[in-house]
Amino acid sequence: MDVRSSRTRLLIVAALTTVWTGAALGRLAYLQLFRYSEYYSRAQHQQQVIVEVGARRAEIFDRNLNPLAMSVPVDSCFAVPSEIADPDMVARLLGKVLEVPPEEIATRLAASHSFAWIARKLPPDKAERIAAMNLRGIYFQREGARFYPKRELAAHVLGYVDIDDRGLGGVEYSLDSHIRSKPGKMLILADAHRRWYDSSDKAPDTGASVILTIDEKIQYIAEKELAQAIQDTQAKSGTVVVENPNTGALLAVANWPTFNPNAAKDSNPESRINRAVSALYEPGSVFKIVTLSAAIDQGITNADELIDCQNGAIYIAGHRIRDHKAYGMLTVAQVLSNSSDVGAIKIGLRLGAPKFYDYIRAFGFGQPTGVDLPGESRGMLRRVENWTPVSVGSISMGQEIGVTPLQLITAMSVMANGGLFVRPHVVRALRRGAQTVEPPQPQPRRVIRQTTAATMRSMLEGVVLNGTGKHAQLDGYTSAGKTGTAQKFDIATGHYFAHQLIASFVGFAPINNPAVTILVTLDSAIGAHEGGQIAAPAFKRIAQQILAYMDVPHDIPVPANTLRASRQHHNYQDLADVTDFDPAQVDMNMAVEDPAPVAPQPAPGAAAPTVELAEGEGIPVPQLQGWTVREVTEKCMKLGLSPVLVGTGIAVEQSPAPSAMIRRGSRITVRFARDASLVTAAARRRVR
Amino acid sequence: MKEGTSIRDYDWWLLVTALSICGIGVLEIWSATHASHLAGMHTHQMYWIAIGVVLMVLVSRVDYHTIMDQAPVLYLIAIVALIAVLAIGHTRFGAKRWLPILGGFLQVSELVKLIIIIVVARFFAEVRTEQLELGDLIKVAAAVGLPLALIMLQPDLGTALVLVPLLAVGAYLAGLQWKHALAVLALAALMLPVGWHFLKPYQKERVTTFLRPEEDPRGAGYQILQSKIAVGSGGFWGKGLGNGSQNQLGFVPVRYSDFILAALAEELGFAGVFIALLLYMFLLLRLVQNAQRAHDRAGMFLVMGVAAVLGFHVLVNVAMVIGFMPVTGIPLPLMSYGGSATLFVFLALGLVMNVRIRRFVN
Repeated sequence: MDVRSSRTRLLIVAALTTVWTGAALGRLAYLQLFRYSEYYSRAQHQQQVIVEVGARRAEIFDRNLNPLAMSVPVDSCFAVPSEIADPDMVARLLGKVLEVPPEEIATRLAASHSFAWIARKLPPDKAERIAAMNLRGIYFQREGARFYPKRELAAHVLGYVDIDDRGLGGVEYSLDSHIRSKPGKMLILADAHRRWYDSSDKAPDTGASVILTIDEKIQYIAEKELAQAIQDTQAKSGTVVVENPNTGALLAVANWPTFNPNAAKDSNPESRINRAVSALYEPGSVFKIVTLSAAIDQGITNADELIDCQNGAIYIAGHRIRDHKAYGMLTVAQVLSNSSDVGAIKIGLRLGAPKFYDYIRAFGFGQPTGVDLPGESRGMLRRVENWTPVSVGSISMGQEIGVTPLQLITAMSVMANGGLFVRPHVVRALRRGAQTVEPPQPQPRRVIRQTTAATMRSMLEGVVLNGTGKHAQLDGYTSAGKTGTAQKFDIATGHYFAHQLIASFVGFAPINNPAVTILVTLDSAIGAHEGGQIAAPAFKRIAQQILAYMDVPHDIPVPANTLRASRQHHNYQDLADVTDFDPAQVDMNMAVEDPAPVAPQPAPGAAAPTVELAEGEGIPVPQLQGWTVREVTEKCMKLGLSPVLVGTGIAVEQSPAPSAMIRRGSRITVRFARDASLVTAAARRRVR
Repeated sequence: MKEGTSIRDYDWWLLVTALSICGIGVLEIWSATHASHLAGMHTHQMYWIAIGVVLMVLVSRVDYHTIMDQAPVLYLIAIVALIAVLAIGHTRFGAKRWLPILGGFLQVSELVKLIIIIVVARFFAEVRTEQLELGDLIKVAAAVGLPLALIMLQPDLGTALVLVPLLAVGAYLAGLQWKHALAVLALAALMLPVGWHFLKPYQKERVTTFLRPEEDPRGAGYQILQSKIAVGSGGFWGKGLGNGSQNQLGFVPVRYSDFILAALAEELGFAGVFIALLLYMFLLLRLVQNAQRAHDRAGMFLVMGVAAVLGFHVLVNVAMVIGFMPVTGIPLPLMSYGGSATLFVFLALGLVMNVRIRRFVN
């Protein structure tokens, strides 16, 4: 072999080396450059499990900053199934604690290699029992559980949330994006053996807390009296709304049936309907305030004009309409106070359809009021072109038109505030950190002249003084309003129900410079069923208590025999025992606690101390023994401690012990008991 | 030592290239293991490299003709050592590959590779015919076949296969005739189905997996797939040293050894792996050049034997990492972690330097 041929063969080897290197680089370029994104996402996919952790929702306060909805930290339990050696045994153990069939847990464990929820938002005792078992592959994640400390109070305004903390009703729904903000993320890195390698929590930002126009005491009065009226009348449902007529701020929105938002998913869907904004019904005689004020505002009649009520019957377009009572000559004021249908029809006919229609629209009927609550109905008002010859007459006395309670109280507030349409609302302000933002309210819109409103007010006082609304007379205050008793329209048959009536009373007090407008409607009462008989007394009881609570000065002498009784109306203090705080029962029907020692309520208007969560120097552990669950929680939250509550009743043990120093944000475990001897001992300690 | 041989005549480019590759390897071994229970491996690797360089210098001092004269003795030692491994060897990862020596474990097949390089070079250097005769070819094949069979019994298919290109390159340069080459290929093709039966189940699985890797991503196709994902997800610039999630989370199999290039590709991206491959290409071309300039046929065959073995290692390992070939368990020379393998490469480079510094000697 000569040197030349071996040299050639070496060159060929060198060339092959170069070609191979080029091929390898080409392949690498293909993998790393052209298919980069595909492989990158495959890598991500197999390495990461991202679990969204429900955002911690901000609080909802009443107008005096009493908390109505808050989020308490609770533990949720999850599993990393690949770390569990014996899933069946684990399922059995967990099933026993959680009281669910083990198969259900086993199925969940089998569904994923890297992540499976076992139980969301566990009561502390169960979480502790699971933690004590010290199972491999079982972990806990802190989440915020929505808690409504006042239970049913203002349930329809507040709404409720689902297990993932999404708002599903009320303000929780309409302001969901503000309250909840961004959910936190839990990133789990899984290694090649599907072991939980690392996790990082991205803490959810807290949303903006909401300050409502609702006053929890007024709300409580409204709900209590509504429940009383329902009980007395056997009505199927009912609504009470209390509004500040000058600002449109809703002070109370109460509906029956109601529900406990802490256990919303177990409640009847019927009970979650906010009838105040969504119920549609014929207003009946209450609507005469629109008919008469429109006519007076147009100057085509006045309070003292005499109207011939034709002995209780009138023909319109061939239809004979009968009054509920045969009246002869009545003044316009008397037409209102006696609620004469014939009188109202004659005035409505004189006004004429187009003008009448314009006023109805101006009062806000047939369109949403724009209240900041979800589910509002626009009502039912046919366009004037579609009115039949009978329509003007029917609408004059509140038929052929569908209204919501909120539309009706807004119309009554027009009388009370001097002729302005003011948008009703429940959100007073949003607070994010130290910054408080008040949502802009639309400019009030004039509906009727001030003088018309003044005339209407004195006519409406007449209704209470010597008309159908005598039961709405208050002690020490003037009052005004209008009764209504409407037949319920059955959409299914297109006829009116024979025996189902909606009784209502809408009024305000005092007459000059009214402080509140109040609406009461009761649906399908058994026995007495007229607005004047059943709704007006409820109005009286509610108004009497609210005016006293609001310290509205008396404008007429208080009858001596009722003076003492009216003082006793200051019983709204019993609001404090509507609930006892127990996160252990968040997801269950919260049993009403025994009457616990009454918590000192902050004076109305005084700002409640805000929760401090800033980490800082150590603080002494408070003495908690002897306090109720709710008091302990409030105390802890004020101090920025995270309470772990075990049991129910009165605090009997705590760890760490009082006056030890701990950091803000630390957990403090408190055990509660009902055992008499322990409780007494704890109560003694509390006195000291 | 003869007059005129000096350390100044070393192929410094070759050494710098080799040490650069070692440097990248140490970095990547550190990155792949620093956060695991294997932390500290890179220090060990640095010791091996240092010892390797010393051995390289020592080997380069003894004239390669002297070494090649001892080929029959070395061959005997190799065969005895391989039999000893099978008899009393230390079993790790299901294979008997290690002999306890000096308080450590020597992977005998690495030493055997070196000896076979010398034996094959000696054999072809002595073939003086223009073309390689069939008788010579059978003789050399038999000489290589015995240790190859012994290594396969360990079993260590990868290392055994390395001896094939060593033989092939030598035969090619010695004037292999086309008809012989075709006959050997035909014979190999015929033997393939027979050989298949002798493969271990895991080896069969590796081959079937290679042919259809996506079929069972959790099982046998796992390593190839994970390697490809690691390489692909690196992109152009990579995820950064110590940040390769495929690597750090243990998705890349034996990331500090056989699949170190996958780890490198993930963390340093196409840019990093491009440089690494260019270094290897340069190293191999440099070896070929040294073979060309060798003083005699013995020197040329010695250097080309080294080139064939290293080249085959690089080729097969890279092909495996980028999904061109099934998993064979052949480490990447100079970069993968491993004492015996590192020492082998530096000893082999010692032979190359040996030839190099004597190129002008008469």
